[in-house]
Amino acid sequence: MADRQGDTTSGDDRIIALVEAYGAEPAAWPEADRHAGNLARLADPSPALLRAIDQSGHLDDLLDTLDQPLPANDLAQRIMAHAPSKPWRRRLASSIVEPSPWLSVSGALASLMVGLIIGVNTTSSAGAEYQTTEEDVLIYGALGLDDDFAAFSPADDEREK
Amino acid sequence: MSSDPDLDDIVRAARGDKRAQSSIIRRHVAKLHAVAVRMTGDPAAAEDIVQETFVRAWRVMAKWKPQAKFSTWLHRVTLNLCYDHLRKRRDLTGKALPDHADPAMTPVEALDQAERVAAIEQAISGLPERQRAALVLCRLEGHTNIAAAEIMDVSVDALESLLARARRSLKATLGLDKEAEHG
Repeated sequence: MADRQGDTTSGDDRIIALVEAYGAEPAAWPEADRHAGNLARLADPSPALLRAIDQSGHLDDLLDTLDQPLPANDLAQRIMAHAPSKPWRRRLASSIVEPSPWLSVSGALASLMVGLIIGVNTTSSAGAEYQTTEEDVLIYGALGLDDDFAAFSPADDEREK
Repeated sequence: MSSDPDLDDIVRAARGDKRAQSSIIRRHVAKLHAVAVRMTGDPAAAEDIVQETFVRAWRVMAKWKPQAKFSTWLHRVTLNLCYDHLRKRRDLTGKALPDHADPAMTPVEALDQAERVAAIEQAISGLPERQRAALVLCRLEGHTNIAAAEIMDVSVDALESLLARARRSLKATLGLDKEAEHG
């Protein structure tokens, strides 16, 4: 226990300094000093320490009545308005990597249309394209595909008939 | 230095990532605004100060070097803008604001709730700027003494001294010291 000098003890000085700076509650003190603060309050406190705790406790109570100021609802939006935008190269890159929904739909429709047009055109000329020649028969025969070839060559079937 | 929770967002925000920018704003705007209101006592000026803080933040983000925590930097900019604002206001009025409120003021305990809050706010606004900043950061906004000292760019001892003087002034202004002496 520290020596008592007048209405304080030498150990009280630091505790009083903490009370006067951070308030009456050791919970508000720097972490390293909290334990000492709790001990000092439990022990036989000097009149000076009691007075300091009383005054600071009153002030703490008053400070606790203050409301937290709240910003206007649109403050965040106003701040966002000044935030940097993506450089044009990055905007272009991200639009390719992450296309917008309307681009996806129109792209799908365009693919469908192109597919239909190609399909219609190729179907009309497919008969001519799949006409086999003697050369084809020789090549497929050499590869050992005579049966398969015959099965998938209606034109040959007709020719044999 | 402990890792900065803002670091990932800073990198993405600097590249124009709106989600990261929004996340940084959400994390800090209320705290910075509260500091600015308590420092200036003027909500409109406080909003301008917070906006200006972020304008500066957007500018430095691309070349941000994590030497200090980003939140510490933001608070320091806000605080300096508050000092500038108070200086300009002093220049306009032509005289310094009183460091101490009227000592003949009614003891705060005798006031009703609204009057009491107004009296406390007036007493805080009457504190010298650095004492006010120490009190606002440490006592009202809950920063640790180390974080508050870093924001104010002072030693922890100096911060403690500013806090003690601020609280002593408030006790005198609000009549709490007399009350204790008499009681």
